[in-house]
Amino acid sequence: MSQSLADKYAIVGIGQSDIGELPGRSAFDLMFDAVAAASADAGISRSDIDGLICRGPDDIYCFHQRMGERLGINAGFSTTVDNGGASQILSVILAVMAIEAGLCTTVVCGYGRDAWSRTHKSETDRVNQRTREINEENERPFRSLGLYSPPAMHALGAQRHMARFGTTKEDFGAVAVAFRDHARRNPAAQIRKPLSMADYLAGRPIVDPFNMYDCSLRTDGAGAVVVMSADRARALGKRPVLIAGFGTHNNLSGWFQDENMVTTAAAHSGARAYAMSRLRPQDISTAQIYDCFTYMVITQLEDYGFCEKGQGGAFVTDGNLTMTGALPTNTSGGQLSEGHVEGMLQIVEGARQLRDELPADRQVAGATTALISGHGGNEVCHSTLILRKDGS
Amino acid sequence: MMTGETRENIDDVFRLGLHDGHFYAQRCDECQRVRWPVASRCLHCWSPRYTWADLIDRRAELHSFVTYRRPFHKSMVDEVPYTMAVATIDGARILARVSDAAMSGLELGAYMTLKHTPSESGVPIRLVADVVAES
Repeated sequence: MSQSLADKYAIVGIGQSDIGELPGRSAFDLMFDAVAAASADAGISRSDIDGLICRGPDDIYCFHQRMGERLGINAGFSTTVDNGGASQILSVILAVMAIEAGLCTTVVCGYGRDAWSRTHKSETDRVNQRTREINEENERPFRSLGLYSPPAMHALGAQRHMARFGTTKEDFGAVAVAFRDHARRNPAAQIRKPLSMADYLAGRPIVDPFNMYDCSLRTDGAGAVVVMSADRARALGKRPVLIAGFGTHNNLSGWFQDENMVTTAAAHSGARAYAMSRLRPQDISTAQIYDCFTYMVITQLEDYGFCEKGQGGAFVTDGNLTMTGALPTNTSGGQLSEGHVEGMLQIVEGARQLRDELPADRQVAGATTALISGHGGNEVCHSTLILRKDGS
Repeated sequence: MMTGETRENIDDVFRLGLHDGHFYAQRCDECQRVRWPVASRCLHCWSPRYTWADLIDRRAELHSFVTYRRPFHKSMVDEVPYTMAVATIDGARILARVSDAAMSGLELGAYMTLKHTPSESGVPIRLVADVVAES
């Protein structure tokens, strides 16, 4: 693992669009807002940007080209990333690699979606996206047998975890309740209504063992970050948030294979990120974990070594994820309550926590490191980013 | 042994087979391993040579399951609640619906039997309580 890259690059600007139910706003519009905000935050202008690594709805061909056209930029390195929810951290990783290779200097990474208004408004809309229609059912005849939707795929993992390790519905509930409490402190969050354990347990059943509160939100929204070398950031007079380490791992063989449902690709991806950063789980101040479903938080916390395999349920029920817990996690509310922007907002939040600019009730006191995870791509693709406060 | 088929033909064999009461996997002629979903080459040794393996009436070890409480597709509106399971047969992980009669009391690691169930709605194949002894 290349430790020489540790702390050499940085996230310098962060930005996000409005998030929530935004009919009439396209993914392009939303991402433009996020890119403009991140650029302003970084103190750069359009002419400074020479890299664009991004992703939009899966039915838009060459999203980066169409986004770049709107932004009015040309780029030494640009591409759309196709790795599901692991794409957004992979964008940041690719940015570091491209700058290191000398292809560009100032890269915008972002993701925009109009999932509430268009692509995911119903399951039929979701599966009818062009790319899926052509490829998916031919490759995996799951739908014709009766298996529909990401909730069911992840619920299969949750069921197995419960059977093997005694994980309970209340453990899943502890995740949902903690993140809702965090969202209540975040004015931008999509859902800020209080959520108690009793509310959680009474949630409308979806696909057992998941109810509606186990599932992330349908969200219109976008986020973006600016990546450049730490030295260049300091020369611009900006305080960079350092990229201390990263990793990826994809269990391409599939979610059903081996024990992939209960020990995810986060294990290998995290090991690489820890090695690069020379950090250990106990060195992490805050985690932003890809919470497409409550269960995925529990298994990833185990895979990242915050607790032993099988102990994730007890770890969350003991209150470790709350703002006053040992590992404040998804401090903006996560995808379960802030809004599901495929992990992009979690990169933004991880960086934000290391800039000491949040109100006291939102700020993880004394945070110096943040671990961020990305998960997706037919449930088996994973990426990890570890950020460090400059000078810590 | 069947080789040289187009991708569409392989998929059709599986898909059409379901409605005739067959659940087709493939056994590789080179390494003898069973694979599902069907594919033109073996994922273990990449051989294109295989023999169809009908898994109907075979015992299956339950790997995990979920129960739909709301439909995710119009074709399933009248089916909920229904249970889908991932199960292991000959080392291959397969996906099948569980019979209504077997939905309660499912336990991971337990054995069930993959049966042709012509009276059932939709795809007439179900995992049922283990009634067939392994021969």
